[in-house]
Amino acid sequence: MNPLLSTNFDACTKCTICTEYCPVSQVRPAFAGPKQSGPDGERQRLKDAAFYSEALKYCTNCKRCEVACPSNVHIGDEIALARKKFAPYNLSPRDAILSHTDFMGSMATMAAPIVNFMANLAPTKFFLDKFLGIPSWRSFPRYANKTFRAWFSDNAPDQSVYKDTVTLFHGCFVNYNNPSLGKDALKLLNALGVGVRLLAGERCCGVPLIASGFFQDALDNATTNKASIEKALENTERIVIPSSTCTMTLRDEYPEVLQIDNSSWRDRIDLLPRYFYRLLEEGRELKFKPMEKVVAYHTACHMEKLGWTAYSIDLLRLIPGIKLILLPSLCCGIAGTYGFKKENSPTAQKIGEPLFDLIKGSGCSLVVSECETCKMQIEMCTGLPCENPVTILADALI
Amino acid sequence: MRFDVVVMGGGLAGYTCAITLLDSGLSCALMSIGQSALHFSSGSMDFLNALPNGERVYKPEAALEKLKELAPEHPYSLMGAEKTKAMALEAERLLNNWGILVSGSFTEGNHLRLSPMGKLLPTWLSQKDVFWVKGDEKPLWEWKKVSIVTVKDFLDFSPEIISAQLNDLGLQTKISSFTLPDLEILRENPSEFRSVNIARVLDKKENRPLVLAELKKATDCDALILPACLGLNHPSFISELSKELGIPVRIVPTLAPSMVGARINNHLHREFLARGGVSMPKDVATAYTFKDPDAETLTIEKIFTANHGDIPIRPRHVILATGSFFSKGLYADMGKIKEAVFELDLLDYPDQREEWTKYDFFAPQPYAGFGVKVDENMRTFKKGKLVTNLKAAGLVLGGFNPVLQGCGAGVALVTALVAAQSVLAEE
Repeated sequence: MNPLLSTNFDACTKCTICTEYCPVSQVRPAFAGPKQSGPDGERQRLKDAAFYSEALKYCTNCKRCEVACPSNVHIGDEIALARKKFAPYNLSPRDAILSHTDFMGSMATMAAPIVNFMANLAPTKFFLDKFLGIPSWRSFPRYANKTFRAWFSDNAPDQSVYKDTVTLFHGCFVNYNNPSLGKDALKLLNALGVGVRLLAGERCCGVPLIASGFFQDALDNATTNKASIEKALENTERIVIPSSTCTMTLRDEYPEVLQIDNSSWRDRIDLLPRYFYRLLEEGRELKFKPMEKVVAYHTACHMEKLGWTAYSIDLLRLIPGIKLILLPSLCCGIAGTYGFKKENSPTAQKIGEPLFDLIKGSGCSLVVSECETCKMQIEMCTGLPCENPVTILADALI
Repeated sequence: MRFDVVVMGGGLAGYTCAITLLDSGLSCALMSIGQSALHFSSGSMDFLNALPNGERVYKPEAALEKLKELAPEHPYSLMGAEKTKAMALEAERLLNNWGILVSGSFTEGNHLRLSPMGKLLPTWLSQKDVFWVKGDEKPLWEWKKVSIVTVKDFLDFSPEIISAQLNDLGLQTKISSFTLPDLEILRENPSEFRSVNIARVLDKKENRPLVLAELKKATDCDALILPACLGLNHPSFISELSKELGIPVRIVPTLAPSMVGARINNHLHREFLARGGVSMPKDVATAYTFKDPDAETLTIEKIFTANHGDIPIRPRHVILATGSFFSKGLYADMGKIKEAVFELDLLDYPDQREEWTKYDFFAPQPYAGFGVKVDENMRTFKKGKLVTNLKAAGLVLGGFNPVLQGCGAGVALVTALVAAQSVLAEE
């Protein structure tokens, strides 16, 4: 695949709208902004690799530049591809820890109570801050005592009773940190008469690896996932995912950044609310009890890129009594592992401030987002709970 | 996905139509291909500045009859003078209701705005804090001496050119510049030292007193003129400055990106969401179906899009507000002009490609007048058949030259309101 063709970089008219909507360049001018780092820089890098700027690592890969671009330039992809091609190998142990979610998750869940206890001790935080560069004031996601996969094989209700089945790509967050979201997905799918299978071999989608520059590891994960997905699709119609970022990665980052051909199954990857929507359109039913709450819908960056907010909004509006506020689409700043890196954390907090102010001023008691790291950031910075729509729907289920 | 209305296009026409329909209780999704041309606009809105023969218009109301003679296919001519006027007044009322505070009025006639190159140009509405002056041919200054204060090293605004132009028009001027410590970090990246980025710094709460202190140094005049690089996230900033300084403060649009234009776009987007509108950014229709393609009239049943793949949108009504060539609503190939989504019928245009353009770049360009053919209710046609549930609005329409006639914003607003009325009449 020729990246010159796929990123469409020569369609740039230099209008600068991308920079206007870049969350990073608004608060961190050391990042030259998407126009300069993307199509403008590409023109120069084609002549001489010396034009590659290390500042490209400040890009959060949020893709808001691509959404804003009226000329369909794949600006975010261009930046990622330039990093893939030119960035020196990342030797940071901190980045390796943050981005290798499968390794860290499997280790941590084996001793979750100890890890959770240790992670919040002052000396641990001091060590992480001073020697690894993970800011001490940041709260860490807790690890689950048992992974979702282990729960699924030991404790899940029998899924073979359902005539229809779907394959769940649970993602790292559900597996290691928040298995209850996976259980919520199961509850809803079963209520709709659909049984669940897991992929035979699921690895992290690779997005944190891409963000930290571990492109070979990301490619390895993607290759494994591709094989598992293709195998699973022999027996099930679709792959469903709770997380917007995993979904975006499998659909768009695989072909555009990792050059993995997903053309035969890209359209069979669904975010869960989209899949629920399909089932409801078929005439299946979900019955909800009333929920007298003001709920604010936050559009995660990768939801904005997917363009699929309508499904979640439509479903949430089915809950009687819910008052749904649609927040303007703004980045929360965390951008996956970005905000966990000490040198990025002031940027992450500054990016998020306008969103936190809007949330606090909205009068909501609950925030909803399909993104797990938005959840961490919003909960830490607003004090309000932030849940995946799947959880909210499962809670309201009669 | 089922919506009462799908609006295709997220510019002035699209948002105006969508917000009006949401207010009438219809469910609405708005699809856009990217951010809109508002980001390059002056922040003022023109209604009609010149007739097709080049004759300057001072009072659009008085010119509508003559426009009808000269340009019978102009959307204003299709609607008729009475309806055009009613819609213009409604647009004024709505903009102010939505919190986009504008000066100027259709009944009083055009006023003058200041272009980034210092030229006084006629216009219909200007945002309250934007520089404007009463007058038609000549400005009726209330001031003798103005101070032009710019941000040091800001290249998208030329105080010297503006000053020279204003001097020629009888105003005394003084130029100064300022900077703030917080701006230093922006300078690390000179190519992005742009209006919107600067506004984000100057608008910060902690910087507002510093801006005020800097401007105080330049108040030995009747009014202050600033480049439009403050007041983006804090739109009342300029009026607060006026109050504190005791003299009028006005902003002038800069070269792109236009902060005053982006501000309108952001504002409309928020009004849309606040009413429960569903945003579908960065999406484009890939296919569509008619209920009964062989019937006398056509009705759109499903629209398929790039993001939604095999799940169609099933709208009861569709608004086409996709804009002109730049916004990709219209498309020119070697031999044909096409409406990009539904290949709707267009107004007649020359067969010969050479006749679409004029060699002189500054001459009125024929292609600017090409576009979709509609009736007086903004209803559209395909191969001569009425498309019952598809209305068009804004720059995708033909019959007018927005550059020559200075009527782009007026057409967008007025046709959007008529399209909305047309939908509601069928409900």
